[in-house]
Amino acid sequence: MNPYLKSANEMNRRRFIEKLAKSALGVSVLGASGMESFGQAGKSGAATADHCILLMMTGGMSHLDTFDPKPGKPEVMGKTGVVKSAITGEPFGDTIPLLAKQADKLAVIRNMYQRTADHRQATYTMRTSYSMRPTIVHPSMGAWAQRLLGKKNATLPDSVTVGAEVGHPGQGFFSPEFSPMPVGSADKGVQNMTPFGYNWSDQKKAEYGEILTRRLELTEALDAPFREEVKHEKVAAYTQFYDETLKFLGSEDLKLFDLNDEKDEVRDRYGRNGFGQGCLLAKRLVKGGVRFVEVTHGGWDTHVDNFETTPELANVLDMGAASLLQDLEAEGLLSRTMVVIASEFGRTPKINGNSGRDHHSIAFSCAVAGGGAKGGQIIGKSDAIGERLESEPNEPKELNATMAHALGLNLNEVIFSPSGRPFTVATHKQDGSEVVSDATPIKEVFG
Amino acid sequence: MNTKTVGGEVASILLVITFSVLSFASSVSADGLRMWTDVQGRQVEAEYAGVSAGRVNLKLPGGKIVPFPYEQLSAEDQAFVKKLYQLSPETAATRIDGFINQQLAKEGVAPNPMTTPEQFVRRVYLEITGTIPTFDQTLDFLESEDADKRRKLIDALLDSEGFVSQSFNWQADMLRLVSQTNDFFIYETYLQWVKDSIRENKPYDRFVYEMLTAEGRLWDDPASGYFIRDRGMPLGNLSTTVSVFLGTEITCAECHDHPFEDWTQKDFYQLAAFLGQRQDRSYGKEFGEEQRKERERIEAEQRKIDPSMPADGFLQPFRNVVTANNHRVWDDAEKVLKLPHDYRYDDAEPESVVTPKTIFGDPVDLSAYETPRVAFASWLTAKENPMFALTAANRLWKRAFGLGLHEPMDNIHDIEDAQNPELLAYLETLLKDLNFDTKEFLRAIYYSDAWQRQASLEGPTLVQIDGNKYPFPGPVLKRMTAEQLWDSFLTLAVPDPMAYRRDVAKPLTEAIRFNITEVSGEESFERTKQLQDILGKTIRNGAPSLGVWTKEAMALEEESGNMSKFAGAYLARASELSQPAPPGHFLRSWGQSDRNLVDNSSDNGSIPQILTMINGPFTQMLIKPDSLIFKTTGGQRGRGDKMENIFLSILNRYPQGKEKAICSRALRNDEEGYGDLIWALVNTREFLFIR
Repeated sequence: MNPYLKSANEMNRRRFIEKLAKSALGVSVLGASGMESFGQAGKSGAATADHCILLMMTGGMSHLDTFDPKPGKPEVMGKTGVVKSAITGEPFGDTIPLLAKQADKLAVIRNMYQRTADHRQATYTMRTSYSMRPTIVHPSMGAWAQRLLGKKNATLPDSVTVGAEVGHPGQGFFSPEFSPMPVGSADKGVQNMTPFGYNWSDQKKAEYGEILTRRLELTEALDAPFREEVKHEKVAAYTQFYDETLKFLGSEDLKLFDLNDEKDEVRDRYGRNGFGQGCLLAKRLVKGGVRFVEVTHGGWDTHVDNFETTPELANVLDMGAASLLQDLEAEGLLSRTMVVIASEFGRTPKINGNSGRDHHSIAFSCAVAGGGAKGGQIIGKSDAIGERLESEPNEPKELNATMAHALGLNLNEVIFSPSGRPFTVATHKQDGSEVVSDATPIKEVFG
Repeated sequence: MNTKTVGGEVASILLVITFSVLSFASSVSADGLRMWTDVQGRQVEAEYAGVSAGRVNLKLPGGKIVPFPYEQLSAEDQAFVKKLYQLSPETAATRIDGFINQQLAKEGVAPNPMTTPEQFVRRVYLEITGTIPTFDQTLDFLESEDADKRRKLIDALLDSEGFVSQSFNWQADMLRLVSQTNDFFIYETYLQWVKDSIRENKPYDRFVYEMLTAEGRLWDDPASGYFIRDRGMPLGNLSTTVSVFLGTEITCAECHDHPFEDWTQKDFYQLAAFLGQRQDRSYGKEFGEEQRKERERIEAEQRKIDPSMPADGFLQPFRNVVTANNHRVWDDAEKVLKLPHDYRYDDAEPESVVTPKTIFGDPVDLSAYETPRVAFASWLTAKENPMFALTAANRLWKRAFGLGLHEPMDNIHDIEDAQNPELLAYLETLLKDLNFDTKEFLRAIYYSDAWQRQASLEGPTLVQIDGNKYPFPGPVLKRMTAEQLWDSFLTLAVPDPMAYRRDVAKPLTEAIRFNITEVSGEESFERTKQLQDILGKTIRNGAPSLGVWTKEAMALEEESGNMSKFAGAYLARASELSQPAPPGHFLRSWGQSDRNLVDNSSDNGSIPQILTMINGPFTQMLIKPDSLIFKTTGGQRGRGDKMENIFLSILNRYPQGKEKAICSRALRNDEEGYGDLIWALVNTREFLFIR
């Protein structure tokens, strides 16, 4: 239950709204930003990370052209070459030279495995650990962390998605307060934060606070009969979103979302594109106290012209992710922030008739850095052409269990869906009469 | 009136008249002429005009309607009337209500109350035309004393351009319609074809058949967009085709035997083999070689004209056009589909050639068709296909009621699993008997009491959805779709938003269609310029929309001042903007599908949505003193009460007593005060949800 709503029920609702609206003047409701006011209790697992940034490559990133190249196999590599990485004897694809240089921070997982090669199913499973079902939506990792650990920060959202597609599972069956806050484009920050843009005068703030209060009170009064009669959960959810929004507007943390604060050279270094700027935003948010940020980088579905498209996409990944790792480290945040580069599956070693690569789910790669992960290592192995695994597979549930473990989530903690079905953070199984986790963290990641 | 009199009239007026009233009765002969015969063998030419109190209304030339006793008609005419009568929307609506009421009674669930006139007018406009009614439309309906005003309004709206727009949005979500893809494919002709098909009420089976059998480039046969949309992914396209049109989920079987269903990987490939000859690129060595030579020739000519041309040749737009010209749908009779190299089951060898075979329904005799693809399309869209009509009927039901009779829509195993299997079976038959006339089908649904009841105040719960256990005491409570919300804002802000119609397909086709061997360097420059003119700078940086409107819209623009744009976004209906709207657009933040996945629109809430409502430019647009709502609610109609008119414009109802008091306390009597009221009402949950 949202603590604000609880208090709202007790307080006169009109006064509550007034308070929230007036706080849009820029005065934080519950003190300064970055304060970890909730949720330190109840941590379990490794708890080596306070934050997690998931860099999600949707469409299916070619493992062969990036983290698992096969030097000396031109029939597999096509036009892609290799580049020396900071891990001795383990080159990367030449599409990601900057990450290769920082490989000492990375644990590269080359034994990833998915049971489906359908985008929708596979991205869903990568984000939720579970298979897609028509009758339930499972929560994504940011929502799980908030559910199990409590809200990390009073005014900031606990999890944020940047550039995620509409079909993102979000909070799944959890109530709307666990929903990640979506930012469409990092460049624009949070749109419509004010009617005047970010920099507005104190006088304007004051005036607008008054206007907003007046209008919201009118809405409340006129909408009361409808809400009284239509007590549908969808309607209640929207009322809750209005409250959450006002609370958010009242916080000073808004500034975190404004990339105009950053110098041009910093913004250039991350890459002037949605993903690059998203990485920069993720760094700011994590620094400000957001627990979980997902930055999506789409378009990896290179059935056609793989050797033209993948280098472009990889360059965007390379600039954004490498700058992120570099800055997190420089600012002392990397040790407590786990950065994960993931994709729903890889691509075929076989180059098809359109110079493309098709979906390949039974052997692909992901990478982890920071937040307790031991860098400079390769985990797992694919065969000589990157087609099949030569070590025990890791599935999305194992990768998610790794993140959950690092964040200090109890993998065996059972949460029931509204329909009464039991779930745990990274899939579950029945053990006698008990429901327990069906996934174990990837041990090697933690060294 | 007795038969004798009719006979007398027959003798005096032997006129040939057009048989036109029966838009739903595709079974009536195309020329529309019909001779009626009674039991005594006397004849009259007339139109069928419905049945009332056991008599068949015959409309004579000149318009006179003669009720004729049913039992006095010849056996053939009785059968004819019986069929028409059963297919009439009135009868179909009664049947639907019968099935629903029976189920409700069985489960002991009370039906929801009927919608009030205010609730009805708002819902019917939103559902059929995609927007709330205007102030005038609301008043017209509320003040009408016509006893049959509900059905008359349904009829009128089904024939409106709004119906095309709203249906397009629905199709766009289902078919994943996009205006362009990142590699510069422009699908405008395809989108236009979808709209035209809706406008001419093309039967649904025909619509699907045309997509599956299309041949050529996007501008030769716009329906080819269905395959070109998924170029390079024929197997994925097949999975989608089967789930969308046949309500059957076979995706898993692309790579391995389905773990939970009966489908094997071989089944999948056998079905895919029907499309095994289909190509979406003009491939072949010779073609590639010719292209290369022609490109080099044109580049050389270009450089002669303009030595500053970039080293890698063509200007970008022209290069894109060349690429687009390389894509067409065709069948290569030489091609066969083979099993994958890692095929692991005992029933066939890896990489062996697969013979087409259907997964259910009647076997197909390939020799009877021009190509295997045509055979596939005929099998898929046939009335005999056990899943095609069923799936369409279930989808259309969901469109109206917010929930399918069977959920999920794309994986129907057994009709018996559906909520109310008898109703679903009836709807399937009805759609077939109507020859896939989806408009008539929807008319029957909208006519029903079941649909005209108030939305349920609770549910369906996940358990109800899971077990198909929602008995439909009324429609499901729906949040406005992103498109409905956007279009409703326009209704409040713009005099005639429908005037802004996207008009890109034709000029684009003219600029793009060419034969590369006939293009000179000079002409390539001209075409590049032509394209840039059409697309503006907008298309490459993904700006909100192409500002290419019909002539009527341009004229309106001149007349009414610049109303087509506000805050950088074009104020045209969602169906007339880029498909989908770019990320960050109002439409996307409210859950318009990204069109990557089938049925991917969302009604989930988010903080950014609320921010668009309280701080966003479009709310500001409504409360500006010169906004349309101030003009239309200035008191020329209704009771001259501005506050009341604002309620009628936004919530489509009169304010209740207490609300008047609240407003008069809160409002100062000036435009700022009324601006507050407008702001407050569009921010209510009552505005956002469809009762």
